[in-house]
Amino acid sequence: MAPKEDVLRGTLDLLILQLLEHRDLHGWAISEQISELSEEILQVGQGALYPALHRLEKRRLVTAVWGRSENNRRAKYYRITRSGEKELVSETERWERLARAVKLVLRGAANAPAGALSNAPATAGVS
Amino acid sequence: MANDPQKPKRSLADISPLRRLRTKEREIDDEMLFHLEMEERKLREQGLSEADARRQARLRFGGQGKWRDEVRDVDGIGPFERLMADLRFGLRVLKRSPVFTVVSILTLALGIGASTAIFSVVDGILLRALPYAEAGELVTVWADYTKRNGPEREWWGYPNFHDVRKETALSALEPGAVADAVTDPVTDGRVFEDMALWTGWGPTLTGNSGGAEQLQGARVSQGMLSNVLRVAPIKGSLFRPEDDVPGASQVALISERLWQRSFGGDPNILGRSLTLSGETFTVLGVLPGEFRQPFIPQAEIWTVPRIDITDYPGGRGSAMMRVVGRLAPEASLDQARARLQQVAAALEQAYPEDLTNVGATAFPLKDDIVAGSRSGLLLLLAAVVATLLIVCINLANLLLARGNARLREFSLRAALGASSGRLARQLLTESLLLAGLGGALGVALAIAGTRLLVSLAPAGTPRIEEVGVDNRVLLFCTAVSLLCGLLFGLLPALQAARSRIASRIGRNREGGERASEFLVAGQVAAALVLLIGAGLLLQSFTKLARTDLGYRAEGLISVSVTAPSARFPEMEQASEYLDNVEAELSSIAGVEKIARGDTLPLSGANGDLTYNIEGRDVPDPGEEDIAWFRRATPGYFATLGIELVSGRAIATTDSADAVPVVLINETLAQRQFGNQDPVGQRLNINDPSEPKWREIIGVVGDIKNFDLREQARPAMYLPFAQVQTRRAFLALRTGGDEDQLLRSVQQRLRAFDPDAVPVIQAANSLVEGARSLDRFVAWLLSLFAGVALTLAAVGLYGVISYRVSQRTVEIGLRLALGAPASTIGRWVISRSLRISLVGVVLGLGLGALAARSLRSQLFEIEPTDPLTFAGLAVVMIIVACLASGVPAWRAARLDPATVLKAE
Repeated sequence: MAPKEDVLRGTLDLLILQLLEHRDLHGWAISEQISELSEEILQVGQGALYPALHRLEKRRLVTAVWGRSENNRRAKYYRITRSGEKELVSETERWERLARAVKLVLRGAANAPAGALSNAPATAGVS
Repeated sequence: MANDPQKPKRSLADISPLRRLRTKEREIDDEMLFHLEMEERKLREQGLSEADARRQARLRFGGQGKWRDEVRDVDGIGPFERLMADLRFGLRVLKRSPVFTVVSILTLALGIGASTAIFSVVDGILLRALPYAEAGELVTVWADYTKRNGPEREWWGYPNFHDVRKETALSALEPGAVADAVTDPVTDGRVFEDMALWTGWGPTLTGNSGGAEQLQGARVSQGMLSNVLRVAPIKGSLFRPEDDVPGASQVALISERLWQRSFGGDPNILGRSLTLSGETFTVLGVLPGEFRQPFIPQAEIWTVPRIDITDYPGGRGSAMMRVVGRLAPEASLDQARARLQQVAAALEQAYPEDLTNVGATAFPLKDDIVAGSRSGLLLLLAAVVATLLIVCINLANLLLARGNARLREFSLRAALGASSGRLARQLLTESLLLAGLGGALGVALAIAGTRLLVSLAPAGTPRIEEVGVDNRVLLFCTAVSLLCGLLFGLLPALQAARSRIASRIGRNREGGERASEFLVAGQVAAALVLLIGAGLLLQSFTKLARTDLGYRAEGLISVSVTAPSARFPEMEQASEYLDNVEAELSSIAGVEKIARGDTLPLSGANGDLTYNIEGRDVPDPGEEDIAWFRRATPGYFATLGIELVSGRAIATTDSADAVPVVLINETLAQRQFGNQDPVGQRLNINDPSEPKWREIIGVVGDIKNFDLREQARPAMYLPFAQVQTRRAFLALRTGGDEDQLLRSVQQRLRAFDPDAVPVIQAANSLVEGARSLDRFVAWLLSLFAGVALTLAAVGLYGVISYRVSQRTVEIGLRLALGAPASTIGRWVISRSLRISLVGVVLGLGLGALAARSLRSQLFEIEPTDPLTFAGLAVVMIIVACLASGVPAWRAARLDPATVLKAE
């Protein structure tokens, strides 16, 4: 099994909103889907998930509705709101920009001559 | 716009924040539970066993209470809302077990109510400041006779008071001199703002529409009300300096109570003339009804003594009046004492024949007022606190047992993420809730209890009229309730905090049981301490009740009569009047003997006098022996039942112009004459420079004269005819009904002299009065001890029953394996005995410590009386056995088959 990673701070909201874009889900399903869709690489601790859900609810990006679960249990479902959808669009853009930037830096650093980077501290040391 | 349509209207649910909170909390719980269930289901589908799935799910859930609190914060459930939720949950829990709740609240209410009631009395009498402005500055000032082996607190003669005041009081300076002469009052020796003297005054009011009335009042020197006690009149003015000089016309102040009662609130009361004991007084002002003269709280009328210092009877050493002073704000009590000693030393130099070895000292006024009640009240407070402690222990035990029963609930909540701190907080909230409810009911009990205590308090208890439930008392009650809640709630809360993991139940139960047993042992110890205290006091009281008075109080009636000088200016007329009264009363049916003295035993102080014996060296001034004395008519000893040890009693032949004679008591005889026969010897009273020898004609037995606990002091009896006075106590002996006689004396005297205001009382009531504080304390303490014993027994019963119920399987097994039922019973009782023995040993030790502080309360019994200690320890052990008897019997009768099948 691949090593599990905690979902990056700040990206959890994005993932939740993305999952809710297609259908209403309850908390457990959200945690399951995150781990499933990320091929079990990403793991959401409940300690983070529920506070995040309740925060989103508070910001009115999602609303909560009570429904019946697969096993016929009363369950709290989360549903994305209009402002949640807008937030999803802008957050997705922001994330992609960020990811591209990180990728660029990584690629640039790998191609640059080794000295270019290691020189800087040395010069500082002389003066 | 006044109304914003965008703003959502508050829904009905919002009206009750509590309900909304409840919903929110439940939603959070439901959401978590649902998550757990789903996780469990998934794991089971992956092939895990049910138990493993459950454990794994909870493990993955992780974070314990942290995220839960986070979710709460997000949802806006703050600490206050959480507290409300805890309270609400607590109420629900309490409602679920009504018997437990009601019993706990009632026990608590009793404990808190009783301690609050006692506290209100202690507070009103001992703790609260006296009801005067800057009351901390008030002191009593005394002549100090300790260097003469006399009392440290002796009354004053007027000339001495006059001189001491002149030297030490700011107010004694000439008007106008104050500002110039005084730079620093203390270094100038002006340690007092002012001091004033007082004596009791009991004038008869006549000529008023309501008939003759005996009043209680005080003669106070001019500065008493204005400078010392600082009372403001509600009408008119206080005494002015010119009122308190010889020859000034007589003036009086009356209290608002007297004004309303006897003068119907007459608006023209100022300037009105009153006839008091035949003399005319002018009303100068009215004092507020709540004002109390120190030491005479019943006083309703005041006048000034108008003493002429140049013509003062009795000399400097005479003890006629008492003094109250107000310290200068800058002066401390020690400074005042030092200054008084200085002034007394100077006076001693100036008047060596009167004042050798006489000092002066001062004490806080409050201490002197409450002195007689202090130890008794503190004792009751200690007892009630001990009882409250036992109540708390009982509740702690109940809660511990319940805590064990609620382990399932706790572990479920722990699994749902409740942190151990949260569980403890929840339990503590429940305890505080119980304590709060108990305290609320306790307040009601305290109010009733305080009223009861005030009505039962012995007559003459100082400041009892100031006792009541006020804010201070309520504050105390609240504090006690909170403290109780913490006390009995803390241990179960800690226990629960440690028990959150279900797998530790087994080990935890052991810990809980140990804690329970320790608590019960403490309870037994506390109860035993109370029992020992009550036992000692009760025995002491019984001894006090049986103590030999030296005279017979049963069937003795005393009638105090005064022949006022206004009606009988000559002493012969006064004596004739008293003779006539005596003759009149002797003719009443049922009176077997009659005689008169100037006071009755236990009815108040007589003066002391000094004496010397003929044929011996004249003692140096200040070295003379002191004796109390009483005037008596022929038949006095026979009437009172005082034993004549040798010689003869006073006879009618001992008249004014006959040979002066005296009788002495056994203590004086022993002290001065040892085994010699004193009869026929002569002694001289007061002035050795001009002896007037009195022949000792007899010796009589010692009596309890001032107090039932007193050590006998030297005393002498002088014939009434030879030392005449205007005031007499007639002593009537009857073999019949005392109450009947009291009534006929009243009627006969009223017919004989309508202006006479006699005080008629049964001597027995004086004896009862002298015993009443001891009885009050002894019985209340016994009550607490009884309650403590019952609570300890209940506690023991509870813990043993619980242990048995926890051990049914073990017991069942033993029985099944052939252990005889008696062994099982013995096993249970031995457990109980072990606990109570620890408690008894602890209690005996603590009891010995506590009893030491009782020494001053005890009469003819040692605080370490071994019989009391041993006897009560046995009682405690027997009660412990009885308390464990029922659970033992139940354990022995267990049916092994049923028990084992049930498992």
